[in-house]
Amino acid sequence: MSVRSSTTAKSTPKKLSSNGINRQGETPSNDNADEVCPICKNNRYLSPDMKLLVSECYHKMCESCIDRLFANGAGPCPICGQIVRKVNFAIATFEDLLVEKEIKIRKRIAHHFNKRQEDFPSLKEYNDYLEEVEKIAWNLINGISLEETEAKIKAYQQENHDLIAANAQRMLQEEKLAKLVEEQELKEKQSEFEKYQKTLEEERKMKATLKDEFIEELRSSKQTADHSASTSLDIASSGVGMWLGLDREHLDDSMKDYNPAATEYADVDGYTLREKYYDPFTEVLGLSKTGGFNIKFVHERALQAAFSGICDV
Amino acid sequence: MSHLTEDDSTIERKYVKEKKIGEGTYAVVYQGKEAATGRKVAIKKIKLGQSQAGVNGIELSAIREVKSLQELQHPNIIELIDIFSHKTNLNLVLEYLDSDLEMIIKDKNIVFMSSDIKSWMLMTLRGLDHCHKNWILHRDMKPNNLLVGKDGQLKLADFGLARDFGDPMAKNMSTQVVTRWYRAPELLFGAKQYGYAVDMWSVGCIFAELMLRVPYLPGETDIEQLDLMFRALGTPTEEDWPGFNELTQMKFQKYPKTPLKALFTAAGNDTLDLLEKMLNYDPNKRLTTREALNHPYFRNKPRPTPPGKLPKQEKSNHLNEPVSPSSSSASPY
Repeated sequence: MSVRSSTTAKSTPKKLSSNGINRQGETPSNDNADEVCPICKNNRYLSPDMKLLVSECYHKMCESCIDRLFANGAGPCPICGQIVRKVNFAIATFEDLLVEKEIKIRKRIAHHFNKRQEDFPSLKEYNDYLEEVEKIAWNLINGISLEETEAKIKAYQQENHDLIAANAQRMLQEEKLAKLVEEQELKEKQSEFEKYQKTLEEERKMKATLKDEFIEELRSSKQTADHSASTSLDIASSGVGMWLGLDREHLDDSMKDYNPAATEYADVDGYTLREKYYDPFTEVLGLSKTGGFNIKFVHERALQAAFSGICDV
Repeated sequence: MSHLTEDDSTIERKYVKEKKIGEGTYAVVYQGKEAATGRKVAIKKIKLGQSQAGVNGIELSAIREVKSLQELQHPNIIELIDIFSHKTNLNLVLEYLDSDLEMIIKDKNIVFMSSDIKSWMLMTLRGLDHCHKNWILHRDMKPNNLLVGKDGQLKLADFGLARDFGDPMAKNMSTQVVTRWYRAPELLFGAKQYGYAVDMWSVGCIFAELMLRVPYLPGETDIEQLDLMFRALGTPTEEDWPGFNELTQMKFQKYPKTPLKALFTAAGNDTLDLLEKMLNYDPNKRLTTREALNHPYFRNKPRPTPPGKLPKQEKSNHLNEPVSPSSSSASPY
């Protein structure tokens, strides 16, 4: 295959520098109206559905040309003459066909030359090896002494057959592991997302209950809508948890006259607790008041016990 | 209580155990009913001889619980219906309630009105007032231990850490009481003599939790607990709490006091005033239950929701009388 021929293809719209890298770095958009099939000269402006595919020798042509040319099996490429088949035409991933080609070649090289740094005794040898691989790739990409290079690859392949297989195996395993990790991450993300959805749902429900309650209140309330609206404003401005500045008072009047400090039992009375008592016994104990202990507890407790007639001290 | 005259097997036959609903370090709780009336009860079976720390093989918390509950009968305190022993086990027959305040706080389908919070606070304080009037400290006040019945009545439960206070001879009261998040600063600083104020601090934390719907000071360690507390309420000074400097050698970062209004934005002034006085650093200045009940908060509008009208959980399958493992580390006094 020839690299030079690809630069002659009219479908490659830009000039390529000699090293095959597009210096301008611009990619024409797919819906470029100037795009022309080099065989039938049909262009996108006339037939917007035209689909340009790439052959194994990296020449573009439109689908209808391919159908016509290779209807009876393999045939020569109308541009470079290499024998190609219809099934081997593919949609180009890259606009620049040289990039497309380079990637394909590098993929193939990487498949064979898969040694790693740990396979070499020193970094220098590894670097030499990388240099060699790069040279082979370069030759293939630019079509320099193709036969020689192919022979080199073949020789290398035979020489390192076992290592290549082993490294390939290793790579496969690493890929599997990476995939597993990826799946795990995906799962976590998903569960996180579900959790988030749940909170959203809960919030929504909460709001619905709030609304229902508010409507219920409006319905049963004797107060004006203004009053209710102002209390609902409180809800919005509260911002603290889910506590509302509302009351249920109007629902029931039974708590109207109540004494919050009402107790079940009468307090023990009949005594007045004095501020201070003569109490040498407790004084010597040296009790500390800081923790909330108060000598008054002792005195009051004794008095209560005495006055309720069940002195047990 | 009838067990004084009847023998154990007679009492035992009065109740039917139905299913196990919970297990703690020193007790198993069953749901059951009184055979004659069908009244639901919780039977707390205390494993005897499990711990050497127990008096004569009976766990100290069991003694505390029986001792306290026998003295306390109040609509806002769980009722001890009967006691009987079976083989080597001691069985407490307690009132059955199917929910607790923690579950209600956590149930995000329930919306709290300020009148609801006032009602729960009122019932909590009334129950606690009865304890304190009888010179008993609960020492494990937390939403999980405030049970709520079908009728909405809130009752103090789990008296496993309760003890009397105001006894001058008790010079070394345990500081390892109260679940950490609700533990008063004087306990965290290791005060050996304390009073009613430890329970009032917990009530303050519960009050805040009712408004925030999340625990107010959820410290992971005792030190972190203090840090959280100081961040929220400012680092106390000798002025705030006379004796504070003698209480600890530790140096704390000085946090400024931030008004409670900043966190409790929807709360009224009376609410915040009550909360602030419950969370006073100086235990001698902290409100008593009686002072709290007489606070304007309970007289101002809105009126507390009647218990029957309080929001309830739609469905509950609660374990009555939770045996809280988090706070059962109390050492004998």
